[in-house]
Amino acid sequence: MTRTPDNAFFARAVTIHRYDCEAVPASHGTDAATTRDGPAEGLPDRSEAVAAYAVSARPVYDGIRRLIGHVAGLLVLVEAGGRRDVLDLPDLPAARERWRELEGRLHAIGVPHGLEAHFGQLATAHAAIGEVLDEFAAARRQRQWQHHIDRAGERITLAYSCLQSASEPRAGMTPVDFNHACCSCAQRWLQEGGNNGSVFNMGA
Amino acid sequence: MGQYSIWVLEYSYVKNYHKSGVLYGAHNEGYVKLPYCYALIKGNGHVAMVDVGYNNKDYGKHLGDKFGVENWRSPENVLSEVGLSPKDVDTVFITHAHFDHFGNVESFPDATFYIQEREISKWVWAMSLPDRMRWMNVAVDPGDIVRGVDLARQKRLVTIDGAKEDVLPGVDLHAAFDSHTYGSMWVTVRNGGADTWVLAGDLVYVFENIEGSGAAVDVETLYVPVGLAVGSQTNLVLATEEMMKQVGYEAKRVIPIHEERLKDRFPSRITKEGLRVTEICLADGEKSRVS
Repeated sequence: MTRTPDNAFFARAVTIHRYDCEAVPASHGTDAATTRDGPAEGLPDRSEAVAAYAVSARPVYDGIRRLIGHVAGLLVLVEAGGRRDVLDLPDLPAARERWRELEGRLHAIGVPHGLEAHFGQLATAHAAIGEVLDEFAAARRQRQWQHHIDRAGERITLAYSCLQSASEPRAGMTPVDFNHACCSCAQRWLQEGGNNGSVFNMGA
Repeated sequence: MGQYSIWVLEYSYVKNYHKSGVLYGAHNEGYVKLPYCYALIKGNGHVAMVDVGYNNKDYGKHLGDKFGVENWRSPENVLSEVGLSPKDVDTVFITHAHFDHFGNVESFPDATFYIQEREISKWVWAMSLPDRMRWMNVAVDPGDIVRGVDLARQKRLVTIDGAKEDVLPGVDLHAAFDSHTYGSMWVTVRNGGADTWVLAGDLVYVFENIEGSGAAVDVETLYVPVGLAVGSQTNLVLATEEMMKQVGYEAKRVIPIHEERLKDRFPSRITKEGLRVTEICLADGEKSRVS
C-alpha cells in the first residue's frame, strides 16, 4: 500500500511521538516530513482531524483500558478471595480520581464527522466504569453488599466490551499493551513498514 | 509409570522471537522459534490444564501482523490430538496472567481455575500507576481479568496465596513471587517415588535457563534466567533452584513449555495442522498419543 501524506502524518503522530509531545501539534500541515511525503496543500482537512482525534483519543483509550484492569482486579479479589476488606483499600478512591481525570480528557476530544460511534464506545466504557465505582461505594456502605458486587461485574463486562469495539491497532489502541512485550519485534515491525493503511473506517 | 500422563500441546508459534527475551543477556544473538503451548495432565479421574493459551478471535490478526504469531488452533482442535475436548477439563492452573496463558478461559466451561492472589493484586497495583510506569503492566489484557470476574462469580476461580499441596492428589502449586510476573507459579506433579515433574510456566523458557553454559566462570552449567521479567532475575534463579530440588536436580524433569527442543528429549509428533504434541510421561494403562 502506498504511503499517503495523511497516513504518514498519522504514523508519526501515534508511533513516533507520545500523545503529549510538543512536536505533534507543531507538525500539523506544513512540517518537513509532511512535505517530504507529498504536497501540504493537498492534505485534506479531514485526515488532519482524524489524526488529531487519534492522538487525543489514544491516551483516553489507554486510561480506560488500565482502569478496567484495575477495578476488575479488585472485583476478582472481592469475589474469589471473599475479601470485603478490598472495599476499604485506597485503590478505590485512586480509581475514582483517575476516572474523573479521564472524564476531563474525554470531554476535551474533538470528534470529526464519522467517528462519533468510536467516541461513543469510549464514552460508554467510561460511564460504565463510573457505575462500577458507584456500586463499590454502595457495597461499602451497606450490609447486604453482594448484589452491588454482582452488578459491578456486569458493568465492567460492558465497559470491556465497549473497549474492544473501540480498539484500533493501527491507532495504538489495543487491549494488550505490547509496546514493550517484545521490544525487538516491535522495532522490526516498524522497520518493515508498520501498518500504513487507513486509520479508521469512516463508514464508507 | 505413574498416576498421571502429561502432554505438552502446541497451539501456535512465533518463528522468530528475539533470543534475549528467553535468555537473560543474549543481546544481539538473533531469534529463536517460540512455540506457544499449554500442558495437559490426565489421571486420577481428572483432566487438568496448565494454562489455556489465548483467544484468536480477540488477538489473532493483531498478533499475526505485529509479531508473526502463526498457525493458531483452537483448544477443541489441539486437545483432540490426545483424545479429549475442552469440556473434559475440570481443573486449570494459571501460571501467570499474560494473555498467551490466561487469554482463553471461555473455552473451558466446566473447569475450576487456580491462580495466585498476588498475580491479581499486583497487576491491579501496576494498572493504577502513572502512565510513565506503564512498562510494569506489559502483556496483560484487562479483558482476561474481566473474564476472571465472571469466573469468580460462578465460583470457578480460586485465588491462592503461596504454595498449596495436593490441589489434585499428588499435584502441588508453588509460587515464584516477583519473578517473570508478580505472582507466577509452577505446577509439580508427584507421580510416585522419584517420578516427579515440574511444569514451569514461563519461569523457564528454554533448556539454557537451567543448563546454561558455565564456561565463563569455570563450571559445567549454571542457571541463566529468562530475559523477560517484571520481577527480578534473582528471584527466577531462586525459583529454578527450588524446582530443580523438587526433581532431584534431574534437569529433564523441569518442563519449559516454550522450548522447541522438547522433541529432542521426549517422544513427539507433528499433527496434520503442523503443531507438535510432546509426550512427557504416561500413566499406568494410558496409551501413547505420539506413536
